[in-house]
Parts: sequence; C-alpha cells; structure tokens
Amino acid sequence: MKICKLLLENFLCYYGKKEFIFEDGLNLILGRNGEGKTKFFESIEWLFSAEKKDNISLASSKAIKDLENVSKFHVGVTLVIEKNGEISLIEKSFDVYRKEESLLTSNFKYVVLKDNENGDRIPLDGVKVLPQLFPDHIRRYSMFKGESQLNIFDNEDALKDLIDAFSEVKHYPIFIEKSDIFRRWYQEAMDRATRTNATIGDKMNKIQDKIVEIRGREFDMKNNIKETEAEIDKAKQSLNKIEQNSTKSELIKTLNERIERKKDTIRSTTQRIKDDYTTYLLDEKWVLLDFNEIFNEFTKKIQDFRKVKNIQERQYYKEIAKEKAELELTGGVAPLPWFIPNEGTMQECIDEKICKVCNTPAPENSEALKFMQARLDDYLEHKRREANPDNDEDEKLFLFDYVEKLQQLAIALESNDLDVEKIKDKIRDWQEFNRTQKDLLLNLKIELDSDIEDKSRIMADSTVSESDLLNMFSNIKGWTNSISTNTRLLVEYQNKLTTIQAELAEEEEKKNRTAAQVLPGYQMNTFNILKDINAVFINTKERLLNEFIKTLEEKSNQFIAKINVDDFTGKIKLRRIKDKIEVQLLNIDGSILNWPNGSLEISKHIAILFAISELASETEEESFPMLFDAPTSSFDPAKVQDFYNLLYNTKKQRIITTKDFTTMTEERTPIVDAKNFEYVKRDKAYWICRERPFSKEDLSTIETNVEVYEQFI
Amino acid sequence: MAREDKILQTFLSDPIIKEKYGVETEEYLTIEQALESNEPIVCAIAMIIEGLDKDSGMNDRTLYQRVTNHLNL
Repeated sequence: MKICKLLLENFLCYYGKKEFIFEDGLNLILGRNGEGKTKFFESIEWLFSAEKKDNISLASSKAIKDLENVSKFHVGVTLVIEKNGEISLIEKSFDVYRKEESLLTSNFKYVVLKDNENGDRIPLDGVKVLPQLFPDHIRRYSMFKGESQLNIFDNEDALKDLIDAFSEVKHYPIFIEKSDIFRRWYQEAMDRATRTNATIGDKMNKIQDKIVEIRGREFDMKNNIKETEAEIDKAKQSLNKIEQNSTKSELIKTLNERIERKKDTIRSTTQRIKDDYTTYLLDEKWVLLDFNEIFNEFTKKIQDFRKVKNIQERQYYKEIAKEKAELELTGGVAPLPWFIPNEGTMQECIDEKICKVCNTPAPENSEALKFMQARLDDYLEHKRREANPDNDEDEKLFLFDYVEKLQQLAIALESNDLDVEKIKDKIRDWQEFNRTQKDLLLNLKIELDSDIEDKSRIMADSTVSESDLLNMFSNIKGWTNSISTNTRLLVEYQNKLTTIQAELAEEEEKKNRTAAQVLPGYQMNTFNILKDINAVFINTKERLLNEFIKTLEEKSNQFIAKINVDDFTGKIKLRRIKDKIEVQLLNIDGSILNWPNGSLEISKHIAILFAISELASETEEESFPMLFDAPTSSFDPAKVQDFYNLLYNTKKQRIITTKDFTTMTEERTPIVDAKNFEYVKRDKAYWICRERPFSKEDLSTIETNVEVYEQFI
Repeated sequence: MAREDKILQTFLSDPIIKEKYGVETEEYLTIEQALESNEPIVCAIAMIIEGLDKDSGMNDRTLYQRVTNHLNL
C-alpha cells in the first residue's frame, strides 16, 4: 500500500485547499514548532479513526471568519492510496455554516471511493472498507506521534498485541487450554474409579490427600513468586522509566542551564549596548563629526578675508605713505628723521628755548618752540609705538584685526583636527560594536526561544513532571537494591517450588502406579497420551513464540545495523520474561549497554518498528507506509542528517514530519536550513510555514502554507 | 496449506512425537491424513485441531468423548 496524496481543506490551520503528493520512499515534511506538523499528522489520525461524526473544532478559524462573506464552507481530509494497483480515495468531510449566532455542521461524509469494473466510482462506507485497505493492527504499528510512542514495549500487553497482529502463535493457547481440561477430566474419572476401589481406595485417598497438601504449598509458593516478580517488575519499570527519561532528564538539565546562561548573556549584552546617542552628541563631542568640512570652509573663508584685507591694507598704507611723503616734501627740504635730535637734546632745546640744530632762539609761545615741542611729542610717540607696537592703533585700517584672530583660531583648531578624526573612528567603532552586540542579542533571543520551545516540546512529550525528571536519579539506588534483594528471594522461592513440584510429581507417579494395579492398561495409556498431547501443545507454543521473538530480534538487528548513527556495533536483544519483552542493547562483548544516548535509544525503537513493519509486509504480503510525527526530538543534531540518509536507504514509504533542518532568519522568519538539508537524501520534501504576519491570540489569522521544497541533492 | 494443516505440522514436529512415539511425521501433511493414522497420538491431535475449528460446531465435552473414545480403543 502506498499513500499517494493527502488533500486538506479548511482543516485546522490548513485554510483553503492544501495538497501533499508523496513518493514511494522517504518523504520529509519540514516545519518549525507550531507551523502545522502535528495538525498534518492529526488530520490522518482523524481520517483513520472510526469516529463517524463531524467535529466543528476541526474547522479552520480563518474559514469560520469567512462566513461573514460566504454561506458555508467545506472541511475535509482526503487520502488517495494505491493498493495492489488499485486507487482508492478515503474521504472524511463535513460542511460548516452559520445560523444566526451559532455555527452548525451538515453533510458529514466518511466514504471510500473505489472504481468498479465499469470505471464508475462507487462510494463505500469508510468504517467498513478502511480496515480492508489499511487493517487496524497494521495501522497501530504504522503511525507514531512524538518520541514517547516509539517504544512499543512500554506497555503490559505489547507482546500479546504483537502476536495477535503478526504471529501464528495466537492460534495456540486454545489447544493448551483444551488439552489441559481433557487431561484433568480423564484424571478425575480415573480418581473416581480408583478411590472407591476396595483394594486400593484407602491408599489412593491418602495419596490424594498428600497431593492436595502439596498443591496447597505449591499454590502458596507460586503466589510468593508472583508477588516477588511483581516487585522486581515494579523496580525494573521504574528503572526503565529512569532510563527512558534519562535522555530527557539530561536534555532538560542541559536546556535549563543553557536557558539560564543565555538569559545572563542577554542581560550583560543588553547592558553593553550604549546607544544613547543624543547624550554622546555633546558629552563625547560627536556633534563635531562633520567638523572637518565646516573647518575647511571656515579656513577658506579666512583666507579669502585675508586676501581682501591684505589688498585693502596695502592700498591703505600706500595712501598714507603717499600723504606723508607729500607732507614731508613740502618746502623742498628733506626732513630729519624722527629720532634726530634725540629726546635729551630736544628737551634741552625746549628747556633752554633755543634750537640747538640751527642755533635759533625759540621764545615762549613762538612758532619755533611749538615746533620743538611737537617734534618731542612725535619722538615720544614713536618710542611708545616701538615699545607697544600693538597699540599702534591709530594707524591700522582694521583696528581689532579679527581676520588675524580667526586665522589664529583656525591654526588652533587645525591642531584639534586629529581629535575629530578620532571621534569619527570612535563613533564608527561604537556603532559597529553596538551593531555586533545587537546581532548577538538577536541571535541569543532566537536561540533562547528555540531552547524554550524545545523544552516545552520535551515536557509535552513526557509522562513525567519536570521536577521528577530532574530528581529521578536520586531514586536509582533504592530500585537497584529492590531488584537485587527480590531477585535473591525469587531464586530461593523457585528452588523451593522445584522441590515441591518434584514431590508432587513423585506423588502423582505413585498414584498412577497404584491406579495401574486396578485400572485397565488402555486407560493408563490414554491418560499418558493426553498428558503428552498437553505437553506437545505447550512446547509448540513456546517454540513458536521464541521463534517469533528471534525473528523480530534478527530483523531489528538488520535495521539497527542500517540506521545506527552512533557506530554502535552491538546488538538489540529481545529478552522474553513470561508474557513481556524486555529490550536491551548489548555491547559487542555481550554485556548490557546501560543508559544509551538519545540518538541510539531512538534508533533502537525505530529499528524494532521497521522490523515489525517488515513482519507486517510478510504476513499481509504487501508493505505499508509508516508515518512519524517528530521522531527525532532527542536526537543529537549532528547525527540527524546521517539518520535520514540511512532511513532513505531502507527504500520503504516513510512520511516524517520534523523540525530538523529548519532555522530562523534575523527577522525571525522560519526557513529551511538549506546548507544542512542540502545533502539529506529524500524522495520528496515539503516546507510548511504559517502565513506571516499572524497573531497567536487570533486563530482566524492562522493559515499554514504548503510548498514542495525543491533543492539540488 | 490450510492453517489447520500448518498447526498440525508444528505439533508433529515436537520431539515428544518423534522420540517418544517414534512417529514418522512426514507422512502426515494434512488433517485428513492424520485422522487416518494408526498412531493414536497423531490421530488425537488431528481430532483436537479439527474439533476446535470454529466451524466444527463441537463442544468441549463432545470433543473430549471423541478423543478419549479413540484413545481407549
């Protein structure tokens, strides 16, 4: 049987019509948590369930919202399968419509459509026909949701269920039961005949009393054994639970540590990010970022001003010089320089009121005295100017010389030029640092979300609470001691039982010998044959059961050799303990491998499931597909690719939904991790992803898109 | 091979039948052949297989009588 196609219409998050077409090999459906993987699986579960009624809770909320515009919509799951060359459609569907404020359903259908000889498509009752297409006992070993369902032996009736489904052994218990009844009836008939016999009656009664007494002890001892076995079983189950959950326990511990570490890193990274840029504008002088441009413009303007100033000054001084020259050249005589005569001579001339240059008297109020006084003043002014050249104000065109000051400012600022460059570098470094930190923060948050999601998923798949998972290892010693003590006790009880049964056999033999004294030979012969028939039936059933388990074990080992991703060179051992199977992994030297890692544990379960699937193919003379929902949650991510490649090589139809090979972009959009998925061998891959944006709180915004993932292999 | 015949084969291959009763089991491939056997244990086993078939309509007591009568002969 092959699943060819699955059509979903307005089923939960699958709004509208969505289609999956499958190949006869490994089909992978990739999607992040919450994108619709489990809903995909549940759609097939619903289709196969015998539930023959509609269920409004399965309708897409987005389609329900559309009822504002349309009168009704269709909810349906249709599976197209091929069996022995014939195509059949299995469809379960119903319509949804609104009447006043209520949502109602109608037109429920659960049909199998098959073509008849004339090519007409005949609808048949799904409940009746489905078991013929995909028998219940096969389906039971074909669909597995999560990791916890993979261990089929974690169930009291597992062996019985397996035998009922796939072994002829199921036909044998009735023979044992009836042959035992026949033997007992014949024994009772013989007893009746001998105990009333005058010759041996008393002896027979005494022997019978002894037998009853021994049987009483046998009964008590069997009870002791049963109770002790139950204690051992309980301890083993608890240890198994610990073992089964050891990976989960380790994962939860690791995840909790990782989550705490990430939270710490997020806190410290957040603190490291300094993006209060407004403050840094002034405090860190970032405002000067474009200083150089402004400065260049500034210096250019100063240069321009200087040019203009120089031109104006030159012009100015030329005019002054010209005026002075004209003044001094008045009278055609060249004047003496300002420092001749000197200050002392000039003062003497004034004091003595005579010009000692031309020996001419210079009386009070005369022009000559005034002239000398003016020369002295001129002299002193020159001296003063020489002593304070900056105060030579009256001759300057530009009294405050701002251009010069601006020039000096420019020179001063020019020496600061390097600091501005440093600010630029600093801003760049700072922004780069912040960007790196923000990237890091985003990645950390994505990883944190992923860890939290992983933890939720593990806990959702666990039958044990988180605190129990974390504390379970503290109970190991108690359970181990219980097994050890009770095993010793069990050996003691079994030895006692053997002794009691030997005693019983001896008494039975004695009874038979005594009975033989009076009973005809044929009766003893018949009784012995009936005993032997019962023994043959018991032996045969045991032999067949052991053969079945051996076959299952051999097939499991063939598969573990193929799908083993951990270079495990040992074997799977299926140990039968009464009516149960204990699965062990044995090292190459035959010792038990305790606490296998999560990947090996899952490989072990899947190898057994594949072995069962092969048994099913043999008993039904056809192969059946297998569907797994997220079977590799506890798998070491480094080994997942190898695992799928090995599954691919088994060349059977497997449909697996998984979160493996998916990741998130920086914008938190889910994508296929193409780099890692590139070399995963598969026959078909689908990518399922919710339409963005959506609101988790508003289901009417949810729509899962389905697309074939094409990529070079 | 019918299921009953297969079951017969599995019973007849038990060591008790060969070693204790020295029966050449290869002679009995079907229930019918076994019912014709001169070996009481082979015939009794065939009777039980046939009698426990849901289509035989035989109850336990009737089957017991049939088997023990045959063995008592």
